[in-house]
Amino acid sequence: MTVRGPSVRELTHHLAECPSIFLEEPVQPSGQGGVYVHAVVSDLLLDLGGEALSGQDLARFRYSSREAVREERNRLRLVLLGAWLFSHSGFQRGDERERLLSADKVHGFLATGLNPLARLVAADELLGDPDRREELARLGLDALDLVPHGEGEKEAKNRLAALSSVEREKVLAQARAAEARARAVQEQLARKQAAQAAANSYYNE
Amino acid sequence: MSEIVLTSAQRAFHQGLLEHPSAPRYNFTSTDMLTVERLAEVRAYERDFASAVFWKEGRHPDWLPDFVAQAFRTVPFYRVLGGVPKTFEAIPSFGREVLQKELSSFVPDHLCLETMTAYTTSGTQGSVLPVPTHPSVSSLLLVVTEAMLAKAGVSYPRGPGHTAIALVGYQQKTLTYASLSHHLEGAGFLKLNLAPHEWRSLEDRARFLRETSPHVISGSPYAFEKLAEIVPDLRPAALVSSAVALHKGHARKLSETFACPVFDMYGLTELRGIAGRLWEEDDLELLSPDLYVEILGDNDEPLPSGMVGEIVLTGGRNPYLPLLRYRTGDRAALVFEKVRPCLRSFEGRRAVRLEHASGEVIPSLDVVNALRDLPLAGFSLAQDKDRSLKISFCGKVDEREVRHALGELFATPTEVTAQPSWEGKPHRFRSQLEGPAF
Repeated sequence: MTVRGPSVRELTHHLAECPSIFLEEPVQPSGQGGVYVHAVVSDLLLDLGGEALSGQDLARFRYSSREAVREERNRLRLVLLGAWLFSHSGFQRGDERERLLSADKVHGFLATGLNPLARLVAADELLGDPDRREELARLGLDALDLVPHGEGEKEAKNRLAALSSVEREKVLAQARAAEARARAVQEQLARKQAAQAAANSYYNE
Repeated sequence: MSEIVLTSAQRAFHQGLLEHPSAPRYNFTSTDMLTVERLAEVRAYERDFASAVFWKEGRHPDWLPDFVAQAFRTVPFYRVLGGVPKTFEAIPSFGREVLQKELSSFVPDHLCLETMTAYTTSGTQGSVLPVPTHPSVSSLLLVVTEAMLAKAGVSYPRGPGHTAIALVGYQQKTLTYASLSHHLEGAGFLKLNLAPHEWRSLEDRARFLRETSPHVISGSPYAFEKLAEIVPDLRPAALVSSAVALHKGHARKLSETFACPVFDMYGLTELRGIAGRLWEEDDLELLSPDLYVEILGDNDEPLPSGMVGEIVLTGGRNPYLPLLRYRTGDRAALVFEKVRPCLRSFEGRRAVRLEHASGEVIPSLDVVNALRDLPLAGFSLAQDKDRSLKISFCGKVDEREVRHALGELFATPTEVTAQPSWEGKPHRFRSQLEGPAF
């Protein structure tokens, strides 16, 4: 049976109004930052009748090391946006609430479901870009097996696939350009070194 | 870009340095790579530098937000972080191994690669890593060092007829050349190797140095020791020591021998001219207001003034390598007791005494040079009291190659161990030998 969630428009509007606490810096091993992502997620799961995070689950929602901050920051920031998404009142319709929001599914989505998106778009950009807000809203609905209000199941699937593929193409093109640039940098450095080496065998200064 | 045309006086002076009857066998031809446009930029930098002020304790420099924003916009390495954090301190630091691994992603997207050059050096903290750099960076360093020299009332002379700087070494292999500095209006810049094999006769070294009379001489403590043996009657306006630690006893002796102030300067291959002091002083004064220095703990936590931690750099003069929180691997405390912030209790560039089987000193620079062509991520060399060596290294190199390279240099038994990974400083030296260290 098709279960309907809030409309995409409501959710994108909700995301655009994300309060500053969900945009805070996830607390780093240095102590820098303003929000403990694992605490936000735990609160949400408890609120949904699930269990607070522990052990390995908890580790997924904080930095694994100082060196990992660069790689993990965007994912953790997207987790906060995901948590904010599920706070929309449309998911909490009285008795239906439990049916719409399953703690397990929410947990799964926040733990791993955002990883592909985190590689594609920066959290700051996501909120400023209507298409990316829509993608996050649709990803969230899809993860909970909900069909957006006012849409058919197939239409919703197609729209999500289209949004993702457009972004992926853009990102792939950027990645190709970045690789070409990196190669050009390496080649130029090698050329300069070779030119110096050709001029003198003691070229290192 | 328009080439700077030398005046006839400049050309004649340069020719005189090249063809001096006692000149060394120069092995390189070099220029300062300035054009009319770049010279104008260096002049503008000099004007700004003169009026720039350092940040106050607990504050950031005024230029920092724009620098960070530009780096996040244009540098692929920083873009991965996904947007500028609200606070500067939330930008994660990184060290040399990351720089080495991801070097090409530090060059900003908008810069022309044709202008980019490669800088490598054999400093004890350097490695085979070529640093992408801009042709003007060396001239900008003159502005920075001149500000340091001003503490002792020394400035570089301008114009042909003056040898402003001699960079001296005492190495098996190094570049040697004579060039002019356009920034110093055609004054001379010499790069010399005092090792005998670079000269036509041993007497030429003293004669050439006396007759070209370099105003400021820059080099390693070991090169200065040799300089004092070769030409103790030379009277430069100042000596500037770099690369490894300068011991006070040695500095005092140099100051007495050459009757001039002796400076100790701290810098890296990646970023030269970080801090400096007169040898009598304990603290190293920061030299550049355009380089933000922090002291961080192991977890990136900023340490308060006076507490020793790792020296971390942001900014710099090299547009091809914008640094945001770069861990140097050196340690110190930062104190704010003077106009310029100072590094106190500095630990870095540790000098060691290494000896050939015959007992002759081998500067650590020569070890770096001897292993330079092997693809090593890092090595750690220790010499025992009996002069035997132990080296552990990381890199795809046959142990026999490492043993061979060291055998040629030291002629002592060597134990070689390969390591699967390497972190921290690329070159580490330890020695049980007693005597002056270099």
